[in-house]
Amino acid sequence: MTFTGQDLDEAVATVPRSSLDTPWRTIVWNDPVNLMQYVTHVFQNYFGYPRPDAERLMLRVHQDGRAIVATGPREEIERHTEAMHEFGLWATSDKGDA
Amino acid sequence: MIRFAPDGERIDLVVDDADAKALRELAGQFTDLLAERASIPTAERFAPTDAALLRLFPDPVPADPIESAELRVLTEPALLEHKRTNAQRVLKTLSIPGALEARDELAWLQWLTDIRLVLAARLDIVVDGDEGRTESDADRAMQWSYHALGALQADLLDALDSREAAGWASR
Repeated sequence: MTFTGQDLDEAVATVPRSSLDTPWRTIVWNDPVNLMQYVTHVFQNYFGYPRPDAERLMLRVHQDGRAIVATGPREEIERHTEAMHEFGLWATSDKGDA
Repeated sequence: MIRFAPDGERIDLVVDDADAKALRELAGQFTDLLAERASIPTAERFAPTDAALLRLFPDPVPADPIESAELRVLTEPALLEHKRTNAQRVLKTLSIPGALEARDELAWLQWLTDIRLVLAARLDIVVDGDEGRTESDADRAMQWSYHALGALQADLLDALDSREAAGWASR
């Protein structure tokens, strides 16, 4: 695809700013309270991950102490992190590596 | 005795008077804890110093304390209201047990988590493998509740799983 100068300017001007930023991430941290079955249930039902993916993510939280469960624009990630807090999971937002 | 009994596409809450009373007391203590937090003016709600409240309302962006504090002011009231509403729904279903609505199921799942987070904080259960304090009668009562409510949550998750396996669409 070739852009003329004008098209390129227009394209840049219409790309939402957030998509040019480094993606943010929702990280879920391990805790001694939440049942593995519950954490899997939350990942499956809230994010819509298929069961095997939800279980893999849950195990990563449990074994590695944390897992990235979502990436995206900042506002979206902050909403996901708040939703995790509604479920009582220990979640934080951060700006991912460039 | 309390359990969640799958009944076709519905899940029934079955509970006797003694357990309903014990759970009502816990839900009452939980809403008192939230009310205490809610009594602080929003603009003055910094990260809680109480371990239980900090676990219910964690710092959203710990790498950026200023952003975290600003976001807390914006989002904590709705999160607190969400948790309070869950407790209200739990109380309502304890008064009128039987078939749960979908939002009751979610309220129970989330409230059982929240109340166990509070109990764990009170018992100094901080990392995997911690047994928690057992010195006093109060400790032992909280230990009993902590484990019983974990089993109850597993019971509800099993009921949700069995409904899904039976082919009833998730509601």
